[in-house]
Amino acid sequence: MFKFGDLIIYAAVLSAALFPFLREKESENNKIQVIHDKHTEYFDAGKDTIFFIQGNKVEIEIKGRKVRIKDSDCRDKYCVKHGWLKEDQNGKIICMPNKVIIEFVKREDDFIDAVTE
Amino acid sequence: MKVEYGTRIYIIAVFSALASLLQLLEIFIILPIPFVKIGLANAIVLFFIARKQYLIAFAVNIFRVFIGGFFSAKLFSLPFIFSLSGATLSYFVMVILFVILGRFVSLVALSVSGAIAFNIAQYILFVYFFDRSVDYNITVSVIILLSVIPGVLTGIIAEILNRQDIELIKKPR
Repeated sequence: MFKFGDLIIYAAVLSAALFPFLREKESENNKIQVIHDKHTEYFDAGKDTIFFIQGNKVEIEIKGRKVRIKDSDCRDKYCVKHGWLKEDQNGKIICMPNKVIIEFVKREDDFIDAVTE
Repeated sequence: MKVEYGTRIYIIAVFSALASLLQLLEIFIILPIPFVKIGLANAIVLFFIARKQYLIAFAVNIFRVFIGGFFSAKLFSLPFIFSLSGATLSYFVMVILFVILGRFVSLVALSVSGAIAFNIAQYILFVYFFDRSVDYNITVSVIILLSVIPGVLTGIIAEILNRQDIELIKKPR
């Protein structure tokens, strides 16, 4: 019932079964979704940029696969106090007065440039 | 017991009938784990592989899928295609492992690898047909671990079958 060569097969089976657990988990979220007013925009999480939305009222910074609202003209500045949003956090940065929602999403690169709603 | 045969067709016919009967009868064997069947027909394929009758093993493996599919009313449907591709891949995996490792490998390990190849082929086809965004993930390891138990059972049966005193003798013409 058991011979020496079986060990090779059993080792291969065991390593194949354990491979998904040992593999370093890479995050699935690869895009930053910015919803402002009624528009939705997607930004690459790996590309570091600083840009303005809502007519220069809100300044958003993307750096090292993190995102934050760097500056905003709203009164309480909860969005600025929120700080950096990391890739593996299931959170959102929301600025209510300026109607901005930022979050990480998983999105394939399709050939649609923008979504109109 | 000595089994004499003139041509291979005779052996293929008899053992295909036996394998498809086993495949149909194992519907009534209920294992405590869902989605798992033993695959007793594979024991006959293993029996022929162990005797280096590769052509007979391949023919039995393919014909039992056709006959079993016909009698369970699944002929040429999607589960039938899954089953056929799984049987083909598991046959080639078992034969290649047996040719490489030869007498250093037992039928239990061959059966386990065949069972895993059977289910992995089905999973690849499933991903191809239904969900193309899946990659190597925990589903695969669940499939592998669930294949081990029936693989071991079938392998033990094949080993018992192989130790019987059955001789295949080709009659001279």
